[in-house]
Amino acid sequence: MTDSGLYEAFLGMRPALHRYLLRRGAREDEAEDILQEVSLTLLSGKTGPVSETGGYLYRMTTNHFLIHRRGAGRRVRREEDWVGAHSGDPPDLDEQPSAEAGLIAREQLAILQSVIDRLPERTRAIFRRFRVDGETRPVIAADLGISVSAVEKHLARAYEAVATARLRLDEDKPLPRHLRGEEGRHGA
Amino acid sequence: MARDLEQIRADAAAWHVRLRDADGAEWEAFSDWLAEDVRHGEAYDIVEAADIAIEPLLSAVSFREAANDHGDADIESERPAPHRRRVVGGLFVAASLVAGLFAWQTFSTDRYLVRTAGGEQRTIALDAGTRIVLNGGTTMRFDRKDPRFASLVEGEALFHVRHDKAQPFTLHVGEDRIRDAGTIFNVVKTAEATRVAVSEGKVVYNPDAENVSLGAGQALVDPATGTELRVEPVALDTVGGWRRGRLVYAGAPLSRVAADLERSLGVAISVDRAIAGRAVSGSIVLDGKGPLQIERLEHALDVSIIAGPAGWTMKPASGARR
Repeated sequence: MTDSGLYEAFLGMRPALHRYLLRRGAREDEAEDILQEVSLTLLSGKTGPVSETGGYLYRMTTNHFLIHRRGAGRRVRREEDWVGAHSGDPPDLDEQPSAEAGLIAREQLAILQSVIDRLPERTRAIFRRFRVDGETRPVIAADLGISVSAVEKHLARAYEAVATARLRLDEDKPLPRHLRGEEGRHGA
Repeated sequence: MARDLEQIRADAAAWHVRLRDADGAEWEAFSDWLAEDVRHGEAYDIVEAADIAIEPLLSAVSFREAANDHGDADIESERPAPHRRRVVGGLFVAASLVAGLFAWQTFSTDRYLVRTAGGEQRTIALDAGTRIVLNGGTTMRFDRKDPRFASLVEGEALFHVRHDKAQPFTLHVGEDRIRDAGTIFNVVKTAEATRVAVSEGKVVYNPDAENVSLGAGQALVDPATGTELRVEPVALDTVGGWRRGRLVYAGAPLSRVAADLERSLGVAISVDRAIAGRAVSGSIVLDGKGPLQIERLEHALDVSIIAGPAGWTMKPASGARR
């Protein structure tokens, strides 16, 4: 897909992507901002050859959505810090992990490790290949001689376990939906 | 109903797995699923956020494994048995909590593989100034503790390397070593040969053996059979052209062009033996694998392409064309 072809495809899919963003919980104005960022990225020509346009554009939109939401989360937390104001630490300064941050990280790691340890052996191996080594479902399936849908079941189970673990999601914690306002959610 | 919620959670996780390489239609179906019930989106948010949250932790997690682990014996022998510690798993976590950061550093699996499927590209940042873009059909190995190490197992990648005299970046390609001197360079490894092309700065090929310096605008070919290294000129703006969907050739054999197309398009391509060695010059623009792309390639390469379920076959152009 040449860049201009990709951009044209984007224009054609724009309503669907807009609908998707609202369903993901973006507000109307956020959805517009995000699609604007996507179109700028496409026009900047920093895209490689694309094998499947639809999937590519949805993925790119999702990435911009996540960046956007993370920014919004930071702002809210900064305001909370401001109100709290009893800590002398400047907010959002985590480039140099403090001793406390290190402790939290180790605690998080211990939680994740125990989740991984409790997975059935095969599920754990498949999860590692998918998530750590970046192998695809068909490759894993072919290698193990099982069906792709069986691989998906193992992976879904692993993700369920990870998602229900009490991991502190920190910077990447999504805002509770009610905080993001309900206007513009008519897509749902 | 609790029963209901459990099902929603399971569905959300299943969607998350499928979305990693979903096509447009699957994303569309996902979007519709979100619209069915507000709780669907809430459940999905949780899975997605958890997946993002574990990213920085994964390198330190140990995956206890069954005996039949798929091992790349040839790669892992580069460094003696780095995986022994896996066996103790959970115990090490407990120990690390006491022993602090040092223990944490040592119990991880240091080396890891990154594979791209045909037609996929991935960028790996090793440090703030060092970026590697993997072309499709490529396998590389990295080291979490050593950002100056990379190994190209198979395929093609473009390297943007921050130069550090004290700790030079070294790329391993089988037995060969490529050491940078502040650079952008592209490396392809196939069964036939290793090709290094430099578009900026300088690299040194096998500093401890042949010690060949390559500057910008030079390419080196190291055939798998025979020992003769060949250095040839290469146009600067064509190095890593695959990233922009452009492939440029000056007298390359058609078999190599087909291998490049395979990586970029993710289609298996076989070339009729009668034309495999034919020299190709010119540039090819890629934009997918549809009928138009096939037609354009047929014209550019003067071949006829038969698209079958197992991939494409390139044959001598039929008399009807040109």
